[in-house]
Amino acid sequence: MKRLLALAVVTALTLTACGSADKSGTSGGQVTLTFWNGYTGPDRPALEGLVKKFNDTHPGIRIEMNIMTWDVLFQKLLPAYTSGNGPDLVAFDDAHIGRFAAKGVLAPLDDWFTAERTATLVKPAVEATLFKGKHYAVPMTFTPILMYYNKKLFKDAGLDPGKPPATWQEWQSALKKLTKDTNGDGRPEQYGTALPDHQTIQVWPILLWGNGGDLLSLNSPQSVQAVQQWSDLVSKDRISPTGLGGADADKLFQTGKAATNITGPWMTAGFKEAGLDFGVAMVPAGPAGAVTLAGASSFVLNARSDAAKQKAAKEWFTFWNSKESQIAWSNGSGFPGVRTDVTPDDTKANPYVAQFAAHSEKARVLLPGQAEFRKIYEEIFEPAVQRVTTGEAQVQQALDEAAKAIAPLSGP
Amino acid sequence: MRVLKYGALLVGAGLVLLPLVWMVVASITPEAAIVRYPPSLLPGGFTTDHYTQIWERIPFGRQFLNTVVFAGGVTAISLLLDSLAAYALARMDFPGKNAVFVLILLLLMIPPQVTLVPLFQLLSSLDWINTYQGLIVPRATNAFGIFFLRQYFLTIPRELDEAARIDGSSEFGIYRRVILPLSGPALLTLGLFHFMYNWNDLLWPLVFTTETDMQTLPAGLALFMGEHVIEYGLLMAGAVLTLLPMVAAFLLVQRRFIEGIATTGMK
Amino acid sequence: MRARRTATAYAFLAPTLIVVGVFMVWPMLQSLADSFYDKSIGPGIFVGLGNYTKLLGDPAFLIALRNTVFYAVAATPVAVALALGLALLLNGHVRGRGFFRSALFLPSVVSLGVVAIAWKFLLDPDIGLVTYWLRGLGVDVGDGVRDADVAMWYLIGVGVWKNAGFYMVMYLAGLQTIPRMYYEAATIDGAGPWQRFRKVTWPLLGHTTMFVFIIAAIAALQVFDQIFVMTRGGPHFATESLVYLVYRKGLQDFEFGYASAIAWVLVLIVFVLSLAQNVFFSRRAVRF
Repeated sequence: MKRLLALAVVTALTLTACGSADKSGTSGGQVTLTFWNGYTGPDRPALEGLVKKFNDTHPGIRIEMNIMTWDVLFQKLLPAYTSGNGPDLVAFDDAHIGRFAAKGVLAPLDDWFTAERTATLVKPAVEATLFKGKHYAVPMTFTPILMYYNKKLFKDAGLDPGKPPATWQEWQSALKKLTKDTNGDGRPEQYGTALPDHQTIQVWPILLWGNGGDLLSLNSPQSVQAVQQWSDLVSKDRISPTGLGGADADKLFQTGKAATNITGPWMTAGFKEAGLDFGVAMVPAGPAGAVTLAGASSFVLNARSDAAKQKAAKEWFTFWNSKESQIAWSNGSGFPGVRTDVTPDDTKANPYVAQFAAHSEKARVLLPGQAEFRKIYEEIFEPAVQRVTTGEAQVQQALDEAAKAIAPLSGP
Repeated sequence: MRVLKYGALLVGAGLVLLPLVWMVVASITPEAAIVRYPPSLLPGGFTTDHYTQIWERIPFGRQFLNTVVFAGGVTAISLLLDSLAAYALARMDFPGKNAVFVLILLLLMIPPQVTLVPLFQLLSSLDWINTYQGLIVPRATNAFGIFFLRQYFLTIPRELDEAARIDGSSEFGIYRRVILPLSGPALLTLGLFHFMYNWNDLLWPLVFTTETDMQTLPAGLALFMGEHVIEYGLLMAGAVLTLLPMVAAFLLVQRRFIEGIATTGMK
Repeated sequence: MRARRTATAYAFLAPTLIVVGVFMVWPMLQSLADSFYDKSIGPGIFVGLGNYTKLLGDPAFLIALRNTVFYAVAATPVAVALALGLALLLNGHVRGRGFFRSALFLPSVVSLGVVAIAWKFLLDPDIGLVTYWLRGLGVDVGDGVRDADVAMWYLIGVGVWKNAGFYMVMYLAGLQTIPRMYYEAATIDGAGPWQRFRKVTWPLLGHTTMFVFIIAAIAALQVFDQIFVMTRGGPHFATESLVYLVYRKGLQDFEFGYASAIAWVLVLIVFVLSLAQNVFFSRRAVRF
């Protein structure tokens, strides 16, 4: 048995040693960049179009794109980086920049950020690319998350569909009116909203921020008050079911089971196709002001990429962030761009772009530069929210515990 | 009693088939009408778009071929290697036999997630990511298969070997001309298990391929399960198309399949 | 002569041993070695049994362990009993026997990853078809699969749905090996259907039951797919299994060392359980 194992190990080692060939992307003056991302949905053709255009206009460079779901991308990325098979370029949500930069697998990109370039870009998008004072990413896309509302359900509830709620007070009273338990079984047949609490674009932080709270000060009076208020609305007034994922929330809104839904521009096409009469508006302003979440993504570069690839990658960043490319991306995907100088006129082809772009400056990036973002958010905050909204824990106690768990994980 | 029996069977079959029927219905319903309230098992419209679009959205033909090569390759090679190993374990005596058998039983119990990361790194250093050999070779033998065939080979009377041996047959000759011909149903059954398992496997091809053109269908279909937008119609059309060959294969061998397990006897 | 026979035997085993050695044993040893390191990327720090002692105080591990045991203890007997019942029904004279057998086996042929999406859709507590029908019948399912207290039962249901047909086929095969004369003899002795089952069928199916029980328990202890699709281990970890935790720690948090330690605890549990079942059933099974 022992001998066998030894034999197996030796065989494995020899195979490993002679098998690893250096796979260089540079041959005959042509630089090939592999590019992973998770744009599987309706935004995919716009991205593919721009990559094709870049390849056509840059004869020395070829971008080879691999699209996979985000789940798959994140489970493969670090093993791929460490085994030397990592992609040259990846696009992912800004929240992950710190996570990968902390592992040392990303190349710093400070020299791309000239004053001139930075001036044309949305400020929070640029700030989100920083980790410990260095830029490890280049902005790709940036959108505020807005409130979708069902105009018909608003009318039926006696609310003015032309004037969606603008403050928390108006919003909360509207949500109560929009929640209807017609058969009196204690379970609403129609919900005021659908507040997702896992596997979703992050909605709960918007509620914290609206009251002046934050994820990194979870047991501050403002945070506690915000969670108390909204979890009461969920558990007592039943304005939303609990345990929803993002896709569940969208389904409830699409079927008219929920009257409002907070999400990004990627849903406009699907809701329109379903024949829904809906509007989009800024998330109503809380006591601390109007604020919403930024759905922002950036490009990162593999630390192991050689100089030729680094140069080629930076050409791609510049191409992507040109005004022309950004307009094409906005019109194709519905995302407002990362540039400040794109006007509603430029994006006439997709009227929703301007509606979203109008609120870009009120959008905040979630936990920028935090290496342990995923743990803080998905493993501590979300479960705490799930506990309080289902009445399994008291707000103050749950948030105290969460804050205690987050403290050692959070960076400066 | 009769009513009860048929009632139970019908309800059971209905429940079992429900999600599969729903998958077919969703695949021919326009995307916007799949998510609706009140829900219904009747299609909320009719379209064949999903079945035509899927060929454009993913390289469906290529991925179908990959799936055939992967599942077929693993099945063929694994049947050969499994049966060779099972033959040695069932029909021959040699030092270390028990150790090898225990090793194989042990491997049966290892969840695949345990070795995923080291295996990924191993295949990377071999430069086998995105290759057929990377998908197939690590699965070229299977602990369950060896166990299953060993049990079956044990039921074949020893006298047959002896007779062949007297006729001057080598061990390989006995394996090939005596044991294999008698093992048709067991090999067929095991082959179907292997084929089914690999045909449907998601995690393995998902991790060991990064290029769309090397992916198998379950991995390719995962593309329609985006984080923000799930495209149910396309996903279900793809699932139905992926399922059809499996159902056909099963219906074809159904009778011999149960026989195959019966003769193996699990004892 | 003896040496030659040994060489021949290993020649038969060689391809298998090479593949097993390189692609299973080697990564396994690697992961076992990893479990003694605090390791993410790069070589890591040797911590001895540190990961294992950390496990004992980690609520996430204890919850996942409890969930996994709960799932296995509930799902295994239910699936096996259902499979046996169906096999008994479909072994006799039944009109449409081929149809029922095929229908019940069908779930084993489909990918759980895809069909769990269909189940999630059908079981949605607000807009799902099944819950809608149940409400029509006056059955209130509450928050259903989104309720931490009952979510696990939904996952158990889907797991049983997926596997019972497969185990049924195993039992059908087992039933075919029981000689008819045993039943005839029992009938002549005046045994009713229940007694025939108790005295003939059940004891003679001992080996099949052992085999099915072991593979069902191993499958249950490794439950992952429907959790991944339907609940992601939530709400608040109420449905997180050990394999899901390995996935989360290893492939999401990239704590390879810790994830390996969890995985090895699972391997140990499966191993002990298999041994115990083996001993338990080998005492009771009847040979003929």
